[in-house]
Amino acid sequence: MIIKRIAVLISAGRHPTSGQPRHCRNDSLALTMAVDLANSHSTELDVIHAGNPENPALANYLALGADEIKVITAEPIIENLAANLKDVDLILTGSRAENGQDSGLLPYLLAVKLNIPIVANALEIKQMDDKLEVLQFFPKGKRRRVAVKLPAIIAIHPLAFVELHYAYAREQQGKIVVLDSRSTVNNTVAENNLQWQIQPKMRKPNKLKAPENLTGHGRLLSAITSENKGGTVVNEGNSVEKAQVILSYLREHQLINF
Amino acid sequence: MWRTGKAAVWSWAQLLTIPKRYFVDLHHVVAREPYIAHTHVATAGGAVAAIFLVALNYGLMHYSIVLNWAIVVATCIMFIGAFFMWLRRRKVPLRLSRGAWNRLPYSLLVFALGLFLVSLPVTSLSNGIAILAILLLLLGSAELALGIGLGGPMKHAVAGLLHLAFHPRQERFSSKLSTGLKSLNLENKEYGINKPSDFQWNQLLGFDACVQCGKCETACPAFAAGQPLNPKKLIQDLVVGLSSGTDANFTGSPYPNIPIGKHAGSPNQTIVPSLIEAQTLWSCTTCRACVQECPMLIEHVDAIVGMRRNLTLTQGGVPGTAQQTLENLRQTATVGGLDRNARYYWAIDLDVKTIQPNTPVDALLVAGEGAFDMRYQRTLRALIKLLKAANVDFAVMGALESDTGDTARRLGDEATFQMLAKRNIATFNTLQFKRIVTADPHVLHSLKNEYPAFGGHYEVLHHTTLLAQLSANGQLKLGKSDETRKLTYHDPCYLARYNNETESPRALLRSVGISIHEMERSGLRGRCCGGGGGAPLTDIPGKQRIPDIRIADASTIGAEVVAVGCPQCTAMLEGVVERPEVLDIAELLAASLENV
Repeated sequence: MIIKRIAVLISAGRHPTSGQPRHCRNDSLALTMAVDLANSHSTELDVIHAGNPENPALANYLALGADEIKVITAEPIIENLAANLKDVDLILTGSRAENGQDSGLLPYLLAVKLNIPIVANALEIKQMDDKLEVLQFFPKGKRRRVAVKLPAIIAIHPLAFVELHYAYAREQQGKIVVLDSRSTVNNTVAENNLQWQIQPKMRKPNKLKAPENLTGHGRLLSAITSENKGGTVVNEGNSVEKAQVILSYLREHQLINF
Repeated sequence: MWRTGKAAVWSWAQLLTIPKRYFVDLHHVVAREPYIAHTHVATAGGAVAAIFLVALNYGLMHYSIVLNWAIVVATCIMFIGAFFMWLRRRKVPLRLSRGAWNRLPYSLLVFALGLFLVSLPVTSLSNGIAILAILLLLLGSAELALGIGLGGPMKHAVAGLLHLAFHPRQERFSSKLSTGLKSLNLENKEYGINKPSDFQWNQLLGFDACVQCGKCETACPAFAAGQPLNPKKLIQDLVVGLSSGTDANFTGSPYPNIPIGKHAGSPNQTIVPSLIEAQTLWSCTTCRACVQECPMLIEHVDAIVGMRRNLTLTQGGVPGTAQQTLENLRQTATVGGLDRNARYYWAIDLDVKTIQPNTPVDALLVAGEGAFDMRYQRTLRALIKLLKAANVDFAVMGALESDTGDTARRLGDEATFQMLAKRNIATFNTLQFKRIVTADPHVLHSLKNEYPAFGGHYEVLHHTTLLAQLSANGQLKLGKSDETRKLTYHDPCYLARYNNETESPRALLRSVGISIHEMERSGLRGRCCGGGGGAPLTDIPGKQRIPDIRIADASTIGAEVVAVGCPQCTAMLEGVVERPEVLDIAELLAASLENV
């Protein structure tokens, strides 16, 4: 099997603490895998971003190995991406949302739109005779090998066996090109034009927790046996008496000061 | 040959500086080992005198008997010098190279003997002896003349003298410190050293000056810890790279765990990994102990960082957690990827001013990355207590502070360093302060020695320097310390070797009545804690850890407290399991305030 064209889809991320624009790690892993695949098969590689070509995060991907980034600015994203990915054999991208306005749904919506299979949470990609063998991540150390025929989308898991290499010189050499900004699809026809609602994040209430004064041994016991968890079950008395027990517990542990 | 290197600024007049630099600057280093200093004076002095006299007497056709006797005396001196050299060579110390260097005393003896016999003003020499003498003289001369041309041991005589004249760091000879790294012009696509010909020609000349004495090897903390680095081998590899050869003829100690004879290079061939392995470069702590020890004044650290730069900037192959650290620096301007607003949380209850534009202060406290570390916050709190006791008008930098980029620069990421440096300088320009105080020698070094290249000129003081000044002029009144335990002081490399500050910390400790018991290596020749140059991040495996070696130094003299002045040293030394207590100078001093 010959892979003729590979495409990597990259998104713009932000640092969770500083809010500074940066690459998404998952997409960078996909990029690095794609560059390795493209080099070993001398395949054509497209690095594609749908969004703002001015976003400083894109420069990160140049440093991480993309020679050229093609930016699609036209909305809606899925339809315009799909139009550009029609004759691509293999599409690689990250597996899940990192933060901000990411939904993590793009690979799936795209697979539906293109009507091709998707393998999510890929850790490793190996080439077999006429298909690709993908090692998939599952929780608690479980792994699964699946084979997929091309064309397909493979979404890379954050724990993929890939080392990122950030090189300033590549950032300087690489370039960002904007693909035709006119939408290739009719906006009103778009099937998956999801209606997003944006609202401020709710602040989570702080849980009041009594400080534990256990020894190391006690902590170990409480973690492995249920008898040692501590606490009391109150099912006697009326609601005022029950509330009084809770109140005195909170006072005892200085979680409230009234 | 050296012309394959890159251009550097130089002039013929620099040749005139050789005698002073040779007899003063170089001699200061060599005289640390009197035995070899004396033998070198005798051998080289005798040889130069003899050759000069021969030229005078026979070249200018004086044929004077007096001069002839003088030649005899000179050759005797040379003979004696070479004899002692031979004595030492009978049991070669491990740090010395063998091979051609073992042959050298014999060649010198032969030369001295030959010239001695020829010059004896006795006409009754039998033909046999005369022929023998001429033969000896020829043999010896071959070493001197051909050795210089073909890269034998005597190459050091010519290369060494020229290196003194055209040294890449000319400031070193005007008793100024020159420890800051040279900046790269990134716009011109200067991405460090990829192949031997990328070095400046005077750097290449410097490598050829190496006498393979191995003093760098003895001083190198990475070599001692069994990490794959030996500064002497590194320099010899670069010599081999310039002359298109392999390292098979190297006769000194190899890089630990890397066998000799498998690496080769040529002037236009990429150095890593065919000539030098990347892990060799990443083992360096940039402590400059090798530079401090080198009698030929070679700049090892510049070479290592130069090659690191190329790896980082063009390939991004930084090992260990260093990659993550560099990403943190780019994205959050902190080493740990932390919130910059949180840097001074430890000072919230101390009623400390945070600097504001248009509100001038005397001293600006730049805490550095140590401010995020709960251990070093204790030091910083002690420092604030002292500054308040001395009524210093100071403010902390607050959320305005970005990392200085020191770690990025040592790791070869010049782009990130320059980004951070320019950002910090822009911030400093909006603030009004007379001087900067820091408790981190790495911050001190960056701000003081490396920011001027980007237009940031500040008076930067280490906290011990400032406190020593305040204590000396009576502004800070220190009490007597309760510390009765045996105490030693560990010199941070970036304070001592990089900034020549060894006295203030000691003076402060003495002023509170603490006597210092010095470790085996201290002051400018102090042993590294292993924390510099991003070495804890690249974490190249060795057979032991560098801080263990340093703590062993302290334990050997029975010290119960190690005084420090650097967050890196504190963290590294406190990482040792069985150890004396580690306390910052500021903590020791702050404790004495209660006894005023």
